[in-house]
Amino acid sequence: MKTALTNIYPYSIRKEYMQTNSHTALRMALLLIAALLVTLVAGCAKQDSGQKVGGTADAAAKVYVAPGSYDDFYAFMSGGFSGQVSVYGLPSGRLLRVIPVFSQDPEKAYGYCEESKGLLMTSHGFIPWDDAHHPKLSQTNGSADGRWLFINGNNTPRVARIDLKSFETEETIEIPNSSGNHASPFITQGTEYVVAATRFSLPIPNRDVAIDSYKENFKGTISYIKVDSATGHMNIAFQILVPGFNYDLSHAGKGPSHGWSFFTSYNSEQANTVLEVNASKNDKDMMAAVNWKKAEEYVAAGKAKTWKTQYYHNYLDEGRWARSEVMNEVKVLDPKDCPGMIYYLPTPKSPHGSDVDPSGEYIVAGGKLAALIPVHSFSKMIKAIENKEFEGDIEGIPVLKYESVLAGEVQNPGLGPLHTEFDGKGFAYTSMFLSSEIVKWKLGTWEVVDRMPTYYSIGHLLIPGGDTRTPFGKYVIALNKITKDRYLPTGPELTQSAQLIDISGDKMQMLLDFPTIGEPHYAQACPASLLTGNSIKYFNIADNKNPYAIKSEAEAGVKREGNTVHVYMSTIRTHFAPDNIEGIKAGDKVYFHVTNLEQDWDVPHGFSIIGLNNSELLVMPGDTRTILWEPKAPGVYPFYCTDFCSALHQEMSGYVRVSN
Amino acid sequence: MRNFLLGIVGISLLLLTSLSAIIGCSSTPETEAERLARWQAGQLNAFEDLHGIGPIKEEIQLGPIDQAKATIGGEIFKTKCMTCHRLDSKLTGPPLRTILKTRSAAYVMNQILNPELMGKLHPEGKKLMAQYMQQMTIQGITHDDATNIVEFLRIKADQPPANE
Repeated sequence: MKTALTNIYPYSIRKEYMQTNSHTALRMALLLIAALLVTLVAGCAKQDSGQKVGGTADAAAKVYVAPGSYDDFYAFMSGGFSGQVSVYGLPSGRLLRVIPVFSQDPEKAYGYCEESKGLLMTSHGFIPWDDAHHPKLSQTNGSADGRWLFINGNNTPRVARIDLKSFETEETIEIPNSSGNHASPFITQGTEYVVAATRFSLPIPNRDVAIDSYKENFKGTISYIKVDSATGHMNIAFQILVPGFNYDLSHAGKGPSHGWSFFTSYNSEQANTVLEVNASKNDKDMMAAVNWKKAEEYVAAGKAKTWKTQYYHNYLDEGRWARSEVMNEVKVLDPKDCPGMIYYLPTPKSPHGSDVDPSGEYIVAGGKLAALIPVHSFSKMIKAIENKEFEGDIEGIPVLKYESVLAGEVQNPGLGPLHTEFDGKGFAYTSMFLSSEIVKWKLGTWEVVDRMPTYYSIGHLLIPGGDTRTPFGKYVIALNKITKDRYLPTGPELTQSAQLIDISGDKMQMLLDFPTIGEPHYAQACPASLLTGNSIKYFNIADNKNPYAIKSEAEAGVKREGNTVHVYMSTIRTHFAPDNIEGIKAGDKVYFHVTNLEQDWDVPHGFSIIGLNNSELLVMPGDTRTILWEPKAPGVYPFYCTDFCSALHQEMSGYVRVSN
Repeated sequence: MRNFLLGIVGISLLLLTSLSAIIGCSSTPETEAERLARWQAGQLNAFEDLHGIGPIKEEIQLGPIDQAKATIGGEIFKTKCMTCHRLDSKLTGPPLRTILKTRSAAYVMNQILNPELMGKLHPEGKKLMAQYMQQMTIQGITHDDATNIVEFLRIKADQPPANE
């Protein structure tokens, strides 16, 4: 525990220091003590492998990517409460792109332009924000295939699919009978399904009941969303009704355990108030093992009940226009009717992460409040099921004996184990939230072999391919919740951060800190070569099927339909067509349909007009985007290109005349 | 006279190049990368000086005007070229009615098919870039359609200016 303690002391003292605004003498004293401790820590850390804080020439050389050169890996990081996904290059830590997913982004007109607004539709109406936690790359045979990235929306339960040719959100689907969609969207090894599960149980179907009737009325659901292997389109295949615990995280089986998914849960106490105490009483909570192939059989055999509900399925059509379908039913399986479909594995203690090793044999649970890391064995689980080694059942779900399924326990790993990733060389890396460190341990012997302090309060961690059958290893990234004093202060709110650590040797080596967008939860990374060849450079104008697209300037013009005016506008370096528009009346609804006629990489044009109440447009080459403008008073209104496109960019402008 | 001199220089260069190739015992043709490096070094050969740099590497032998191709070329001219060009007046780019009287068909095709490098690396293209302050845009035009546009421009070249 030495590293854990040395890590915590200077942090807490510096925290005190930061919060004290008066008593200069006290501050100075604390600062001196902190400095002394930091010196001591640095001294201690030195003999403890490459754990010292800060960069060395060696570390710098390992993250240096020369100007004009490419990074080796793409990393996709969840934006947490920003609702977005950010794309980084590794090892440089350079931010390459922010992909809007669940939150509006005026820079890209995402959620503002008419084409994209539908992606944010739900049964609760238009929702311009969500909390995005767990990006997952699509897989073929258990390895990342570079086609799509899926990510969950926690708050208004949704799953989104991002296309990795365009780096754009193409589809969102709402999850009915769910809330707090946290154990999502962990995918099966052939991208057959992405999953979703309730972190917050509910009366299902939702209805007006007393909150303290939780044990009687509240249930959870685990949803399997089928992914079309050609188009990526999502469709909720079935939901499994489960006891009202808080389903937290998941991973699918792989190799021999393909066909199963494993979900941690906490609050087996089924408390509905003061959860920090009341949901932490039991020594063990339940990990759910779901045999989804069995579930498919039960659905095919007609065992599912069809429930009336309402949820939205939104996707880009062939004209890249978001269409919203309102779905009215969902198939629900009750474990009581479906023996062999789901089992509970007792797991200490409010487990968080649920991580399956590359072989598919070991299922590691982050025993969040436990002093050990329990590892379940898939083969032992199958035997225990055959031999009916049950200690009871919960609402028709057999509970296996802990000892019968246990492969081993990592003893004294640190405090607050959360998530585990694998390097493909027989080692596992687990994040320790409370003791702020990554612990490397050996699969099979369960012994801790190395530790690396992280700054501070690590949540998830990432190894490229570290949750697949084929980890690429090389780096582990700590995704930290708190940075405090690690960066220049920026007022009360500070950036969250990622830390890049070299794992190519026996001992971990800290290489680099870099800030992240929003709060990073999970992240995924893959070799750049998996994506670079597929990344599109522009949309082919001949294939533009937007109903308001124009293919040449000759088609540009203005059409009036009552109080609605459609402006069919084109852009090309360096002008708009038309660039002078008259005949608009105050109170009209004016839709600007802007088609970018460019057929060249990295030549978007922008469009903005004074008094626009939503956002600019940023139109990719060959694409069409539409924005609504409602002029309220007569006058002349300039519009212009917002993206510096050429030497004559400043000339790329025009006027709209508005009359009474 | 200038072209004649350039031609002589070009032929000498070609001879020198082939000679050095023979001496070097290497008969491999120039790769795309080598060609680009040569252009970037400003070492254009005589053909390239006259006919531009790009996918057209030989003179285009023009036969009788092909009316069908010219009609297709006219349509493309309307949808793609007219965003920036007119036949008789200056717009974003230069007027094009008589372009085939001053430039070869191969040059025009290279300009259409390889506008970025023509603007950056060809001496004539660089002059136009300085004059119009604008790189000609890539329009995704195929080789076939470039020949169609040439047929269209051949017809227009002999017609009187229109009132645009």
